[in-house]
Amino acid sequence: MKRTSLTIAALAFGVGSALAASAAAEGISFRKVADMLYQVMSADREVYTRMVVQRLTVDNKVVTASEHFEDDTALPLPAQMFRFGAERVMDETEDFSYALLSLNPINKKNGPGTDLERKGLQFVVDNPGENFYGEEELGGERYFAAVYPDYAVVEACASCHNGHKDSPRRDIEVGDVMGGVVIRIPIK
Amino acid sequence: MPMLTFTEEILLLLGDEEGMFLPVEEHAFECALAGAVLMDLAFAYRIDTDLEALVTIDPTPTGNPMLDRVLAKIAARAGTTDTRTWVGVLSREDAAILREQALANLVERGILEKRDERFLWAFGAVRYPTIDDGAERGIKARIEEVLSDDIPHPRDVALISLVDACEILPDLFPDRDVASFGPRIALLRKMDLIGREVAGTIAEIQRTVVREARARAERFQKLLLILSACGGLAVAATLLSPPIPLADRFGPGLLESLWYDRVWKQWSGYLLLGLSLAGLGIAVAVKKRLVARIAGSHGWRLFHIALGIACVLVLFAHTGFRFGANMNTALMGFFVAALLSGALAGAAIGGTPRLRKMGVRRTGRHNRALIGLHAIAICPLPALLIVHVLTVYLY
Amino acid sequence: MSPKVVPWAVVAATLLGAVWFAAAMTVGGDRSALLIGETTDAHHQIEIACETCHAAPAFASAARAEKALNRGCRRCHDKELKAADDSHPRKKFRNPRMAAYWEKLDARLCTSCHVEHRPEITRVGAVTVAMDFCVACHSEGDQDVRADRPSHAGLGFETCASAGCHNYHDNRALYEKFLVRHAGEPWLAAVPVHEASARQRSRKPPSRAALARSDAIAPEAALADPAWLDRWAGSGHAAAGVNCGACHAPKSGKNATREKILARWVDAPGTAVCEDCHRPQARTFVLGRHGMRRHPRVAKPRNPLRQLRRIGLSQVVPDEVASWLADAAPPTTMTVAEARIPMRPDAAHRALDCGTCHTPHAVDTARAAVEACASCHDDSHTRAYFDSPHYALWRAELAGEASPGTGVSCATCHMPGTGRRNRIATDHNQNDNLRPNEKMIRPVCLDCHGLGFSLNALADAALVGRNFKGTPAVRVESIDWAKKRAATGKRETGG
Repeated sequence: MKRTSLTIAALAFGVGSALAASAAAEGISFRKVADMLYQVMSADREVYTRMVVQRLTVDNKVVTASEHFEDDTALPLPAQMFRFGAERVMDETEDFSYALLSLNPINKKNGPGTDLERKGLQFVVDNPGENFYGEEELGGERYFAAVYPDYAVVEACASCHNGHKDSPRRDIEVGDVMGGVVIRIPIK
Repeated sequence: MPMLTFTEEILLLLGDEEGMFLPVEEHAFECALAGAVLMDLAFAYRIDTDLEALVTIDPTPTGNPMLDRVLAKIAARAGTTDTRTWVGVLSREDAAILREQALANLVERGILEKRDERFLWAFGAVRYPTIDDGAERGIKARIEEVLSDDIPHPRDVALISLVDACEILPDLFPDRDVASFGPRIALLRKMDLIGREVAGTIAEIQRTVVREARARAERFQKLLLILSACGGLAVAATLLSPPIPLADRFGPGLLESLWYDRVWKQWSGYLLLGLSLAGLGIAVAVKKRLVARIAGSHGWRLFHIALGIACVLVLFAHTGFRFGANMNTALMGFFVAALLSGALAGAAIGGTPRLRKMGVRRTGRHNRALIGLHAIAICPLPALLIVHVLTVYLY
Repeated sequence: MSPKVVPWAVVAATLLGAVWFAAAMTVGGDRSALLIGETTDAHHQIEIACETCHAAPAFASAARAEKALNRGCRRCHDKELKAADDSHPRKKFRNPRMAAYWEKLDARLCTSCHVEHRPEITRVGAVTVAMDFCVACHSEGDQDVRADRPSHAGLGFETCASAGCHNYHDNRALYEKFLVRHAGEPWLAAVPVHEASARQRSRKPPSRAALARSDAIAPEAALADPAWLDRWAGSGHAAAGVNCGACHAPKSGKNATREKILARWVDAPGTAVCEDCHRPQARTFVLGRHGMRRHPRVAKPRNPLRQLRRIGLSQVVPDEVASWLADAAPPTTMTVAEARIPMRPDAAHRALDCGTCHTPHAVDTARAAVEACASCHDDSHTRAYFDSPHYALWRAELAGEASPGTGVSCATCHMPGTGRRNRIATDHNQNDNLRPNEKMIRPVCLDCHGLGFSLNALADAALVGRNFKGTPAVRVESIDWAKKRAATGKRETGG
């Protein structure tokens, strides 16, 4: 199971690196690169959530998904899966970075950390179907940042978030915007 | 052979058994030389004093180049300044030259011998050991006679006044109770023994020299003593006090930043290096008499001590007086030894009159030994510093 | 001696010294005098191999030097941090959205908390910041633990890591759900057996390969001492079919003839022959404090000729002088005298390699698991062991009165077997679960004891000193708090 997650993460990383590199070479706009990165991430994320987690835990009930998947011999949670990919990218490159955040996170460290994140996350909640783009300075460097809505695509998303003891929001329904994916590319 | 000038006589008396002719109380020494040369000119009927000014009455050269140079200098600004100012000017600007010239004369006369024993830039000195002690013994005998009951010669009275002003009587007569000379000297000063023509002048010069020397001595020595004591105490206190504990709380405290922040360390390190180099530069300049003409060496010496105190403070900021390990310990050890010996030497020089009052003899020798220690402690510092700085950039 | 000589001598000596040190820094030679402060425990073994950590080129910028230094940390410690499921991994903080945290405590750099050669500020675990460092990030905003956890409201930040509740890196046995799951366990399991030890000690070599005294192939002189022969015949080596030549004539190859073995006989073979077969043990041995001098990441001595070429002096300095400047060959073993913990004075001269604990020929693992340790270590914990309930269990197991895995030797806790099923090898990295001692809970303690008891016992320093003779006087409340919090929540899985 771990291997699957790593493969997906590696794929995302490979595509991402190639995109970021080609952007620099061809002069593709940051927005375009971010959009393309998001397409890969969001596709992988939805595939894992729908075809692995929802199918095996909710539909077939053959395995559970758990934050402590190793100790519990369970599937990594989709949010963890996404984070592992993001952290693996951080292990390899600083060409781009991404994170899955929410205004109502279970783990508080996944709440908005910068003004842009707060604005962007609110924007994607208030403007369904639209993305948020901007620039910000972090640690002395300027970044292009894009925020994309993250939806509750299947029942497993809603049920787990509504039931978690640390969840600040308990009324999520399938199709709701639960948070957002923030992608940053340093402007050099 | 003409007789010795005052300047030469007083210089002979001021020399020590090693022929250094650099008494530690240079303020008095310089004033005495200035006074002596003015007295020489007064006895030669070239200058006179009135209430406001010291004036040239006869600008004809005396034939003695040493006196004539000063005479020309006074003649050029005659009537514009009083005795006190001239003692000040000559002691500051001309004492070194007067010393050189008088010593050269004495060597020429076969009384002294010149031995250049300088080495390694800052060590050793030019010594003038006595080869014919007849002249010095003669002067001492004259003084001794006058101090007993003999009828004094005017020159001798003038000489005694100068000797008294320089406070070297205890050194000249180590076996005698110098305090007992007091009333006799006071009496001699009042005696109207000197020819009417120069009496006023000589008396004025005497008074001026005594006053100037004492005032300067007190001011300089007091400052020197205070500054050195401060420096010494600062080193001693920080060395002896228990290590300063760092707050066991997370967060950048001032001390933590000073001692463990790379940027702060670099600043304090280079500041320390700069201060040390400045101190060294001043010491060498004073030794080589490069700065004496600018503001007098005393001010520079005080500044040298002040730099030492600044070094103590910056060293504390740089290290917290922790000795570190290995090479750093050696560097720190020599640096602290240099600071401490410097402070001690300063305190000893500043405290010389007090030490003399306490009966300590041959203070000049002790003081020179301390300065030597100071210099030796400094010797390894450049090499150790280079290695220290290199380790920072290579590791 | 003329007083002139003194300044001359001082100046000359220091100039010579400076030249010597400059050469040592740039070309080669002993650099121990340049160490700016005592190196931390364990690292002191390799402190002369400066380039192991100081890998940046000369006069590199401060930022680059720091990066190189941190790369050095990770080269050796990355794997164990991954294995510990590091709670604050570097990758988590490299995302620019964490920039606000970089200002507080830059968790991207090991050197933010662990600075070498600073004995005066080095705390437990080689930490060089005040131990309430959690305050940097967990005291305000969303991350304020006091606001988030009512149970933590009145707690000082200096207690986070010292009370047996949290570690910065390794929280495998301390995280909330784990605490809840193991809540209410009895202090001692119904069947207190250390699984890995049980498997190791009940393992029997295949009997068909076993060799007897008469099978030994060795020169006459070697066979003359019956004691050697007896020890070998009774050892695991003989039982597993390992004949004399396997170690004493390693170059003769497999299935070599008697003649070939005798021709290539070596009286005292090095540890390489051990490592040849016992690879997992050898691999883990160099990771721990006993064998770290042989760690492959330790920098090799500098080549003076190459160093001279680098600074452009290879033409100027003759080769003889260059070879004279060469770095001394670094010691490959650690001696007992170099240890910084209490050791037996009579063992000071002993150097640590395979043979130190495993006597050649006899290869008695029971001896290696207790007596070998106590023949060097002389601290209160070691001395108290022989009066402890763990030792009583060990004696019972050795006497055959109790089943395999019930006895607790030094190695049971400090060098437990690791691996899966039948491929269990003793972890020769004694450091693996040593500090913080909560690391020991999962691989060792929990096999026999409940989590609550384990936490309390490990948090009681006096009890550890007595080698667990008695009951814990400390009570770690984390399980109670976790239970309470779990009871107020609804469910515990989420997406």
